[in-house]
Amino acid sequence: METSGDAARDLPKAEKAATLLLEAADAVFVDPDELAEKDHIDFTYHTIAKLEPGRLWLEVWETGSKKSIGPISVPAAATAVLGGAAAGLLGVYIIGLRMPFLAVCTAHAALAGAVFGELLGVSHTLAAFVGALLGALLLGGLLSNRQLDVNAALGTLFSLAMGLALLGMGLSTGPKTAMLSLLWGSILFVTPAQVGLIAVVGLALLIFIIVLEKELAALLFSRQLAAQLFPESLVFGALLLFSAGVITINLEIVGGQLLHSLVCNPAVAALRVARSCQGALLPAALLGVISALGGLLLAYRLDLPVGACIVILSSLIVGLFLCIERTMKPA
Amino acid sequence: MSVIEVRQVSFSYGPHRVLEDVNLSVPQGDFACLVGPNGGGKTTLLKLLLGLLEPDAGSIRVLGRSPREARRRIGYMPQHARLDPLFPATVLDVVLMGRLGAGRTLGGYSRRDYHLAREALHQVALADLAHRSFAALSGGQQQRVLIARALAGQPDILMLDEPTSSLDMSVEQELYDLLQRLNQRLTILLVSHDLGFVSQFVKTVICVNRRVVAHPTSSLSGEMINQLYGAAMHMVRHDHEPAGGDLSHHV
Repeated sequence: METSGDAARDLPKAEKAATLLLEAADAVFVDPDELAEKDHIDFTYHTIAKLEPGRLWLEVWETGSKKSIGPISVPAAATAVLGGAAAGLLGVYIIGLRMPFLAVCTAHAALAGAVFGELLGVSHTLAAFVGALLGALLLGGLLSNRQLDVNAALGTLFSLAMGLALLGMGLSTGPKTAMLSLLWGSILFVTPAQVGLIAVVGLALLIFIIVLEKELAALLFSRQLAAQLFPESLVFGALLLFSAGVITINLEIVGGQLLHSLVCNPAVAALRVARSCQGALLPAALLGVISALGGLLLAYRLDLPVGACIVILSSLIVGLFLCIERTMKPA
Repeated sequence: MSVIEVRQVSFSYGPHRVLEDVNLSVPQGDFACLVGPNGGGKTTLLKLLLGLLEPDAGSIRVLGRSPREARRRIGYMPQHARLDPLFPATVLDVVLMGRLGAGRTLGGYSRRDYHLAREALHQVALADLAHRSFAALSGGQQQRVLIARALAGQPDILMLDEPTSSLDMSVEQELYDLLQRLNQRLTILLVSHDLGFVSQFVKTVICVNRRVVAHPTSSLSGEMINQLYGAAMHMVRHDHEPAGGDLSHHV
């Protein structure tokens, strides 16, 4: 049972590793017909031999003997830092708007998009973004219908997104390991190109926050009041767009099932001790980094699933900050 | 001279007609109170005047412009219950929000924004609490901060939705004293349920129950109130004394 469990946990990693190796092979394509006899290698299977922060080694059986390949560079730490910071920043606004369920809904809409992307053979990052964006726009549309309560709209969307994700998985006739990896995440196999995308989205979010600092603070204080002073629906729409972007880029790290925790928990903790929403931004970003990076290191050390470690660590941080808040309050 | 002109305005939420053929004129310097039963359309009328809703029919002019164009010259205070009382912000942060749209477009607030925010806090006698957490204030203080926030935009008209809900009587009295002082230079329009108390301070009572009728406070009668609420009502006038003093009620 234990071995089966370990194997099941490693399946997404194995498939991703195979994809990465295939991509690497394609990048330096050699016609096998032109190879000399001595250069032919018969591969049987690969195993992950060693894992260190930023690097992994594979073991390969070739012609009856074991050979080590590696280290292969894995930009997991950079992914955790950038993704965690972006998630922390976004979380301040999602929690500030008192809509934590928004992160859950958008994460599941991204998951549904990624599943259908896999099904249709489209890049699942792009498909996840389209799914998250459609989810966010649908949410915006439902909320503009003033007869529908915010939580009712979020609940409707959450059910729809989850239903679509499960439908996509059900329709898939091939191996489902890639789809399942989107549920739990696999930070170890993030590519440098994905790290670049995470950096771009994070930077765009930061610029958005700096430029519209006043408007965003007013939006959090009262959407009703903000509507009287500036086109708040545009700013709210832009925030939904960034939610879709940040959640999509983090889907790879912790997976759709747990992603909302990485978005919400650092912000919940930071807002416990901050005197203003702007004042919570830096602590939330730092706590997002600590959650993602710390969770990653814990997973390395204890050989545990990364996504679960990140979420549990971020929850412990919330508990710690609740204690700090209690000690800060005058008796 | 009228600062608000409403002509034959109708508005519905889906199939539900909330306001019908509304005509209203509010002169400059008026202190008017919108009264009426729940669901009668008071808050909807206020939102139409603010340009937050568009009428299905008719026209609205505020300070000679459309409500959207006139927004920056209106200070608005929403119902207290719709704000998060634990929102993490200082008093000054909240008042500065009133400068949005009136001050610098991008980036932080200007020196002038800070000056006008502090001035607004001074007007509501809360200048010394500028750096206190908004969440740590009492209900009455929070209401005064929100009035300061509305004043920071240097408005010509102040619109307040249930400004005294959830306040005790002495704080309510203080708030209306403040509004009376502000009325010396501003037109004030407020929504209130406490007609008996408000009638001591306001100049005009605007009865809203799908249709709208405005009366000078002096001509308000029990019969009008019964018509407005659609049932026999008792008008209670409270004469509040300062805290600790006697309270006398006249029915």
